[in-house]
Amino acid sequence: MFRNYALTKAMTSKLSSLESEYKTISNEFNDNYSIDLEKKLARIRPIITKYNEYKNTETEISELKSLTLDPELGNEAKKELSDSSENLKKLEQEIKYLLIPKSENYESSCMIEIRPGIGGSEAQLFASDLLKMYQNFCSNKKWAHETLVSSYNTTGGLIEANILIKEPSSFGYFQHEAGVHRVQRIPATEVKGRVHTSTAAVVVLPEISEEEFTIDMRELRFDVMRASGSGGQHVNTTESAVRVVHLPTNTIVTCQDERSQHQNKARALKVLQTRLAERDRLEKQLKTQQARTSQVNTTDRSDRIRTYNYPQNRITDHRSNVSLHHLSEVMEGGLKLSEIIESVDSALKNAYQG
Amino acid sequence: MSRLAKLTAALGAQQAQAELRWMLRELKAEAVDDAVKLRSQGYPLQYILGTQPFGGLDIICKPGALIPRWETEEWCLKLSKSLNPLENNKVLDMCTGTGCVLFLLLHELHNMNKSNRASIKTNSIFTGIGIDNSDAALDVSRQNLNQLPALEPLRSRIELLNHDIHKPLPASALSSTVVTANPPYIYSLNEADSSVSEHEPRNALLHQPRIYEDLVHRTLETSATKAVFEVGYLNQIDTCVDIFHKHKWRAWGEKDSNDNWRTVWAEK
Ligand SMILES: C[S@@+](CC[C@H](N)C(=O)[O-])C[C@H]1O[C@@H](n2cnc3c(N)ncnc32)[C@H](O)[C@@H]1O
Repeated sequence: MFRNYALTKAMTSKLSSLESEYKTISNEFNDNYSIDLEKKLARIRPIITKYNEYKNTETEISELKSLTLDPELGNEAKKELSDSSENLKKLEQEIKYLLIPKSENYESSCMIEIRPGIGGSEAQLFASDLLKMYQNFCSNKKWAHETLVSSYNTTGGLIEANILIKEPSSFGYFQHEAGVHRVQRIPATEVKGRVHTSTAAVVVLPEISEEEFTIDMRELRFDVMRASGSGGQHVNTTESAVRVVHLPTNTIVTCQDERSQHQNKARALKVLQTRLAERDRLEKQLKTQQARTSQVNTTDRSDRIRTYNYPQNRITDHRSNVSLHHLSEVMEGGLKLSEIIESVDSALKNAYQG
Repeated sequence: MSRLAKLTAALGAQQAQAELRWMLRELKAEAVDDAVKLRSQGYPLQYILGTQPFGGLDIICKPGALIPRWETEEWCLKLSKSLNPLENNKVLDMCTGTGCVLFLLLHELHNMNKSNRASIKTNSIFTGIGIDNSDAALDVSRQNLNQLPALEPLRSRIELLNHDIHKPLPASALSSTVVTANPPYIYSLNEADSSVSEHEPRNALLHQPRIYEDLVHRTLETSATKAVFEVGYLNQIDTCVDIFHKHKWRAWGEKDSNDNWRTVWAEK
């Protein structure tokens, strides 16, 4: 019953070195503010907090142990001892998890990109459903978010959407949303009542600040809709679409959703910056021969991570194998979605811990 | 006909979809039908939705005042970047209409000032004065001044006056350091889109004899060292540049990003 859940020697020595690192960085940070240091601190802080709790609980336990033979307090101490041991066990698990190397940028805010995959206009419709799902989910979570770019084809189908989520660690939270999402349902236009399968691809990127990654404006070309003629007071144009091309990489972002060119340009630039930063990061990673993270950029049907099955009112994640029967609530952005997201997180965690 | 079909007939598919989306986003559901009807008859979108984004501001638009143009926004943002937010600027905007030029310049100065750490020490003051000879236009600029949340910190430093720019300036304008104007410059309303000539105020569009000459003379009455006027034609640039040169100012014309001659810039 009084089994000791102490962390391994290797772990405790790792923890003490983190403690001294934290002190050093804090001092440096107080003298000299920098985003880099702030990020490092934010990364270590949760571990230090948990470790302090862990050490306090350990002290508590050894005090309680010495009381178990006390004629008056013995029973009381035994009861508390079992609570504290439980707590220590929990803390130990949490610390073990925190010590697992996190994906880079775990603490960043993020951008979610959504594009239709296989399935024509049904896929475009599903992509806009996912857009609405994430927008409402963030609103329900009270996380600030804005839709940077959404572009549509001539029949009104969504081609692409980008939501910026201004919540610290939202990258960590949403990173496993990346992949192919599959929908099974009867399209409104289907006369024979057959179920169609279509897909949408989701990519999740960490938000990068301008200090961390700047674009050389000379490498950009802006295309805007320009009426011929004298312009100015003579016409009152409402056309505001902007296309930004990054010439060296031929990366193109189009934004037509806002009412002024100025706004569309700012949003397109933000998306471009995030994408180029990710590209840059992946290139560096490849160079250092590290494994490439497997964000899905393709819209291949076989890479599906999750299925939204309308006839069965069911949503299944294929990594955690968790199914929920609250499809409409999830699609409306209800907080039920977090059950799925978190199930994936623990499934992947367990896979890591083996 | 569906709403989209009506709009498509008037605007083309792409623009019809964009505008219907904005209407659905910004108007009450029951107002959309009327909005579509008006819009497909050529009524300006900004009077229907009630605003036009201009830099970081959502300028209130009403039929009494000209709708802000992207060309104006473009030079206005360029001018704001050329000003020193740590100096005591006083902006005089002649022919202010909605007030968009004046408000955006001060808004940008305010933002630059806030994000500049040195300003804590200098605590610079910038103020603005907008003049127009149309009460209808002044109504709209006053609404903007009183209602735009972004202007809240600037409200007490901005003055709006009814004044004819063909006459000498009111005393409070003489200490201005920067002068701007987007005066009416169209020679004949036939040259404008019908949506413009039918729905925007004539006195905001139609050129008046000697208007550019008088704008330059008004500028010279002040202590300003910098001025930008919007133009519709190259000869209007020449008119201004000639007078500025006579008074030993540097002056030149600039094109907008659509390759049309758009502004005259002058510096003392
Ligand atoms: C082209 S609008 C410009 C409005 C605004 N500044 C803009 O850029 O969108 C011209 C404005 O000049 C005003 N105006 C016309 N003649 C004027 C005059 N003689 N004195 C003062 N204002 C005048 C009109 O009422 C109108 O509001």
